Amino acid sequence: MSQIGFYRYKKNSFTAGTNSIAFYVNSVLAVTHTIITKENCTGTQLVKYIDKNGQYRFYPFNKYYEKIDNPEELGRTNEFITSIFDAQTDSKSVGYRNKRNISLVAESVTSDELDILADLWTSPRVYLYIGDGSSDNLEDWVECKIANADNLVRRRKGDFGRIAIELELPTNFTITML
Amino acid sequence: MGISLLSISQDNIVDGSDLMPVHSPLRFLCQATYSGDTPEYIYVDLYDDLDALQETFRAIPYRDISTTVREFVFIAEALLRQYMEDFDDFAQAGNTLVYCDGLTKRFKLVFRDPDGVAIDETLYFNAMHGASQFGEYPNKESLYDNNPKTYYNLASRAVYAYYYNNDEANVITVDGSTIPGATEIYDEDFSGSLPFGFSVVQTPVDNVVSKETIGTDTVLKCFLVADPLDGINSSYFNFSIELPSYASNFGNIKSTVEASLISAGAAISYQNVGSEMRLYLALGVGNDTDVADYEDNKRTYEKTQVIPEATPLRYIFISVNNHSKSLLPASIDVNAYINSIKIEKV
Repeated sequence: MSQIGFYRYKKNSFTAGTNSIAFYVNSVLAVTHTIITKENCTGTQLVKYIDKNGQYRFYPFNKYYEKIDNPEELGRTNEFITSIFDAQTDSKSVGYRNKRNISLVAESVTSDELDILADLWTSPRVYLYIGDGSSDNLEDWVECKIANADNLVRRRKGDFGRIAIELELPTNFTITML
Repeated sequence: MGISLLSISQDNIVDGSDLMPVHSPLRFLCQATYSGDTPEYIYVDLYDDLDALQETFRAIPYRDISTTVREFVFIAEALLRQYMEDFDDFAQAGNTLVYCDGLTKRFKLVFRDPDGVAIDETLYFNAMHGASQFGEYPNKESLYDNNPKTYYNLASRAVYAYYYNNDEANVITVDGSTIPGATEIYDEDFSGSLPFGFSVVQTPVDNVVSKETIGTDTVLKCFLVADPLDGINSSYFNFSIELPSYASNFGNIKSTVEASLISAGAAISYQNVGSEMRLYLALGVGNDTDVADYEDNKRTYEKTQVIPEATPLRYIFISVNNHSKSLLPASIDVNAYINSIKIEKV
């Protein structure tokens, strides 16, 4: 009737607040998991990552994010000058390779959330949602890499606080003269 | 002379949990009682979930417990990982329960005397992609026991929740929905709230002209607004009643749903209008638009459909179709009741 191993239930959506998903075995309640659903504001960023148990988790970050490009020039070609009057330059750029990073922030992150987020920093699969919010397909996610170091997993004092992560987005393709 | 007895001294099974992560050290110990020459190794046969021999490895000496007992260690984590499948994320439809292929794999280890004299020692366990930390057992007991967990998500966005199943005989469902494999037959007459995880999803189609509410019981209320000046009105509502994570997993099944359409409110004074309402039921995937499913002047409707094995049965589709040649009032309340749901093996 079933297979030994993990089953995954995907709930399409919840309203903000505390929700639950209950699993039944042979029609008997086996476990109820708690779903903390956060408010969804326009521009809120959603990250998906695999935790230490091989399970994919989600975590939202607020809409105040920034993207940073780190271009690196591929090289330059020398230009032979016949006249300084109209030669414009003695070397031309071939193009750039670019790393685009996105900095995300989550506010009021509790200690319990930090415990769960601890797996994010070393997760081999981290995805950023790029869809329009109405779908959840493979094309709605891009794989990223955690780019920042010194990630907080426990606070010295206090239960709430903000965390920031920097994700290195996949290759940002650029036009080159090659 | 040689090994006379093999005994697994560390099987890493904790309180019945045989769920073992392979991304952190996972070592099995086996003691060999011997006489004569000290054995330098014992064999460890690795079998997969189909009981096919994958490879034979050697457990190496770990310590000498006495002059006749030597303990061997089988360093398993890296070896097992190469037999595990990928566990990348996969596409999954919403509100469905699916098995996570690749996340776990069943193995059998057979500790074997190289001379074939001592009786083999066998160990079954379920390896999983995961890691434990120092101070924790090399065993995911908490996952095995399905201790409650907290997941985070964003409103109106998807979220995953996981369940570990340790028995093939189990039937696993979510939010109380029933898979008929559990009882072979599910036959429920009800008039209370929607049972077994049913939830109502309104699917507006075509020229929906008014609002709808979901009744406190199983009543689905439609509020049809007709144009009094138009003798023919064809507005209608659709309701998809969704049964999460339900699928026919033991062969063909036959599903029968009986529902009633009852005019209420303003329609009472328009009996002819009420009687000309059509209630249309469809079972199975999506919207059955077969014209033959419409029947005139029928207040109670029963529809039976044979559904092939493995076909998701997630929707009971109800359409209240107001296609009357009568002069309609400005508005009509219509209640659709689900009377019974029956699912049986055929």
